[in-house]
Amino acid sequence: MSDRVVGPLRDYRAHLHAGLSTLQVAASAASTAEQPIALKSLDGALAYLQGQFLPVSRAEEFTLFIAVDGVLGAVDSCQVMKAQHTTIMRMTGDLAQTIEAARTDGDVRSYAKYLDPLLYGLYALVRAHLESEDDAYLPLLDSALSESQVGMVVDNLTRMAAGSAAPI
Amino acid sequence: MHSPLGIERATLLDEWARRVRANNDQAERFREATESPDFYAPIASSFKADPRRNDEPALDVLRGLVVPGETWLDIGAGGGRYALPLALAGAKVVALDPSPGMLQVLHSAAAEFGVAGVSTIASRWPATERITTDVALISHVGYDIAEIGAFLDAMESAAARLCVAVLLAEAPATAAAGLWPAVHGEPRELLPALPEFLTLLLARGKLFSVWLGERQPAAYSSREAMEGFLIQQLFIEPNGPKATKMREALKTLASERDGRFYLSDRPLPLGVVTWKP
Repeated sequence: MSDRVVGPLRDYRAHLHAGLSTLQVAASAASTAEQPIALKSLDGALAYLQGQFLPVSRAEEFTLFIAVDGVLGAVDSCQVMKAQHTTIMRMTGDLAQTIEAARTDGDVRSYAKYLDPLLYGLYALVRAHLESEDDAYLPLLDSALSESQVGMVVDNLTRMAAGSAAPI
Repeated sequence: MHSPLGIERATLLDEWARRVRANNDQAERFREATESPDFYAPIASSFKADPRRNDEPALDVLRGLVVPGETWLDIGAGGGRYALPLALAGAKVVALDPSPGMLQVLHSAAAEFGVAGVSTIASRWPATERITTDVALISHVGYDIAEIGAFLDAMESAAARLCVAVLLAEAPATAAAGLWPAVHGEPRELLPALPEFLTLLLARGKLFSVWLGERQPAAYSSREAMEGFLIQQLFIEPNGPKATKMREALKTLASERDGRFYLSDRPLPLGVVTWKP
């Protein structure tokens, strides 16, 4: 079924789905690629998590989730998804520390046994998280919000994730 | 009345009111100390701030909203933390607050820092007198207002151009919540805050814009200052057995860094919300 009004929100989220591949690429590179390529792949995965996924996650808690609360007439109806944000943030912190240790020791392959579970675990968790939001929340908002309300959600999401100031 | 979301706005208003009342009722059940007629008087001086400070991003956002010559109504202005910088940015500010102690701090700060263009009204909100301004502002006000719908109706009626709210993701008093189980034997009933406020605005059919930043954890200049805040928020006598429990719990819950005392090391999301009245 096609979207009534949430198309712009789905479009905004496309980069989050696209960035997932950086986690798979990094996991593969950690155990097989030469050191410089492996590190570059790992940095790419970290940049996706720290620079895209996590800022949007934080912004979602004040945009997407409060809209879902509004539609459901409930408080904190997205608590499970917020808890997943926290878990992903912690795992990203663990990943950053492990990458730094591998970089310092100059031997990424010896860290693959620590990096692989983190990267594949993050891939699965982030993918399931994004697809759950797509499947559960977007149709709900599509049925209840107006076009201008969706526009407001996307504007606020974009601004908050980018850390820029509110317009007058 | 149904909101544009298809839900009853009253559901959210009722839930807001229920949480505020649960918070108040819990305080009354455990209150040891007599309530002061001016709750903020003992800590009012801590609300004074340099109006020319430039280390507060949320204040910079507010300054950017000022159209020189316009009138701003600062509802619950406190010690003038925002009223004075807004006046310096070119706004005529009407600072409204029910606390004489707070307004005294505001007048003192205006004199100390040489700020003109701020008039004061000692009143709760909604005020009995009709007030019409260009912009209406609330900053950390509303968390404990049970009748938030009427409060916002009056705020929107008073503003011709813009309404502005500065709110945290958790009410400031929540900083003391971690002590409640140890001191009173039950978790604190938490007040609604920024997320619930945004949901409410949506249900009121408002399109709003949000700047999202962070507020660093409160730092207390001494252990006594931190205990003073907690004694007030726990509603206990400073020398009673519950104060002893509080001090025991603080051994694990509080931390000290560089001579300052903290109840948390977690920054809180802070929103500056703007919408047309």
